[in-house]
Amino acid sequence: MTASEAAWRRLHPASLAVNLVPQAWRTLRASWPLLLALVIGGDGLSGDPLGLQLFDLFVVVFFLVLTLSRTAVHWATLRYRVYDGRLEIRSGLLNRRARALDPSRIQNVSLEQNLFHRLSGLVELRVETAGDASTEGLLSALSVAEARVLQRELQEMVGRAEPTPSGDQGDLLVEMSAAETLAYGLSRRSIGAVAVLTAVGMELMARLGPQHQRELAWALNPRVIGGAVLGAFAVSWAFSALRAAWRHHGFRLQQLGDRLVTEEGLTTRRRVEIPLGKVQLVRADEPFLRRRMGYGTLLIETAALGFADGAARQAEGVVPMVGRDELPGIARRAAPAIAVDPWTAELLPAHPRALYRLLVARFIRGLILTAVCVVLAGKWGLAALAMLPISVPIAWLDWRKQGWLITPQAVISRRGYLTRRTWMVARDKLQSVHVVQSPMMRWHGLGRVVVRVAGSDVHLPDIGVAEAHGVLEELSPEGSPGQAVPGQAVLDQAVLDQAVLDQGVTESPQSPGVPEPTPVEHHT
Amino acid sequence: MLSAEPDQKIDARVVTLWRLQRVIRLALVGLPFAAMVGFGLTALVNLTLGVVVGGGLILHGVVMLILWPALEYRAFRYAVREHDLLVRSGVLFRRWSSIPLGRIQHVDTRQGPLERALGLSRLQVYTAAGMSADGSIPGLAEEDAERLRDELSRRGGDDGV
Repeated sequence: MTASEAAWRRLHPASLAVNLVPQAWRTLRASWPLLLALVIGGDGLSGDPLGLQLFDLFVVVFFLVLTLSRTAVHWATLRYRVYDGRLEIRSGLLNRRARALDPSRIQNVSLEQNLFHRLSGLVELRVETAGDASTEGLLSALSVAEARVLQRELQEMVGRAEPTPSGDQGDLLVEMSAAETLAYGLSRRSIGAVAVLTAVGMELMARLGPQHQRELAWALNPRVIGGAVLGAFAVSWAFSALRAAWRHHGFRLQQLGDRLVTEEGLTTRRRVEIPLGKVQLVRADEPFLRRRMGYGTLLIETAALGFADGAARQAEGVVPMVGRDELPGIARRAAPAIAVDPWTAELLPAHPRALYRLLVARFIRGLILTAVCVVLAGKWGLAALAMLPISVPIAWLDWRKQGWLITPQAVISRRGYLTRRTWMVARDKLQSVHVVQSPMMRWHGLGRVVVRVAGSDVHLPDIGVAEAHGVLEELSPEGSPGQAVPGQAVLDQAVLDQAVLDQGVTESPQSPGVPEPTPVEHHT
Repeated sequence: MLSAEPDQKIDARVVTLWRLQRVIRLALVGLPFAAMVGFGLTALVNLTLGVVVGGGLILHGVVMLILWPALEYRAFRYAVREHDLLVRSGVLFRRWSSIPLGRIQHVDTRQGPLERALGLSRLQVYTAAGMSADGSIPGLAEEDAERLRDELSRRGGDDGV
């Protein structure tokens, strides 16, 4: 190794400016329960307004000092180097932290630029590894040249080709327009935002004087509540669309050799490289609204599961809006080993008795919801009972759209009508296989196959328990792909034929249906 | 269809272990909870309801303490097959797990104070799937656990990650 490899390198001095706001945000996020308690409980804690103001001032000053000192300590103590075939990073003053990243565990390397990075011409380099936290927030301010050198060193260690600078050299697979980005935001579920708005509304109400509260209570008839809920949905929709525009602005997906590269972001430009060999799972989400628009979302998951900023997260490439006719092609690019198109293949159906379970579950959920509504809104809450008849056709549609398939190369599972999701897993990525059975499933003679890959579990639809055991045996190593004839389904054909005769085959995906993707947190 | 249900039983002493664990849980959590509910209902409604509900909770705890460990023991089976470890567990919620031997990352044996006193050990099998164990075999005799741990951890392979 050369002398330069061994020398410790440090962050750019402009790190102090670049990191201040992100550090403030991290500090804020780490202490949000305390801040929430202060905002909501402030009145109760301190009786007189002057005491309250002094207390609030103290909190603000403490917060500022903490943020400034954390930023300064981070810049002053962070050192990194590539040494002995590994990336070593150490940081911290009181809590010393040293980390050595093994190149064989590196799942992807990304370069990020937030607004402050752009102003100062710097970049953050992030390395995601399997089973470890990402380096998020560590290599937070490097010059672009330095970041490229480090990226090249890392990729040389892993034995990959030279990194290609961002640009058009690759095979461009997806490019999202501004309208598509907004449409993506509008077709996301936004219950979380409604909950936040409700909490803020209640807090504001609690702060009103007694006279106002009486007036407000009088005004809170069902019509006002209904309007407020609709308003909350409208606001949260707009918020979701704007957030999507901010995060996914100018989204591009390219294939560069054996890597997929995504680039996106308005203020923070994020570039993620995913080596194809590291892809564990591909999931297509087609929520109802998005399906109606003719789009779906593709999630490409790697094994980089870890904890960053106190939250469990998964490194993954998200392709927010893909035309439905393009979904199979992009999925195949992400995981060539899967070699089956779930949208045209004839998937096997869920067991008929699984429909009964779905109905009972929806019925019970409807009753609980009604009870909650009655408690909140009195006799008007009984209106929620109207949901029960609607839930029957939805459960039926949900059951009809479920499907699964085991091929010599892949495991495919599809679930859901309103929130349709299709999971695609290459069999050589399976870690373990399970069959689970609840008491009610046992009563109906059902079982559910769960396959685990690094970082995720995939549930197949409920099928007969004997058939589920057959799948477990099939997926265990004795039934490994090498022993099966390519292109031929490996389950006992008699079982399959019977299943098909019994239940008919699930429809091909050209018809509408849809799922809502779990919002994937990208830290920017 | 499974070619065969797993046939290996765990050590019968595990029933004693699970009963002791339930006794401790009942004393520390179950009884105070039942007392709280009983006194609460007595104060809010009447003595009869308090006694019936509080007593019912305690009775339930005692019955579960006697019956459940035996049922769990009967339900638990495992087998080390040629290519995988097959584990069946659960009384109400049943689970069959197949863990390919080639995918095992590491194998732990664990012993709490009660397990040590009874000469038992718990085996936990990890793959690259996540942070939790993929398979766990409780109540193995110490020497069996060690033998199994060595046997399973020797079989390496591609982790598929």
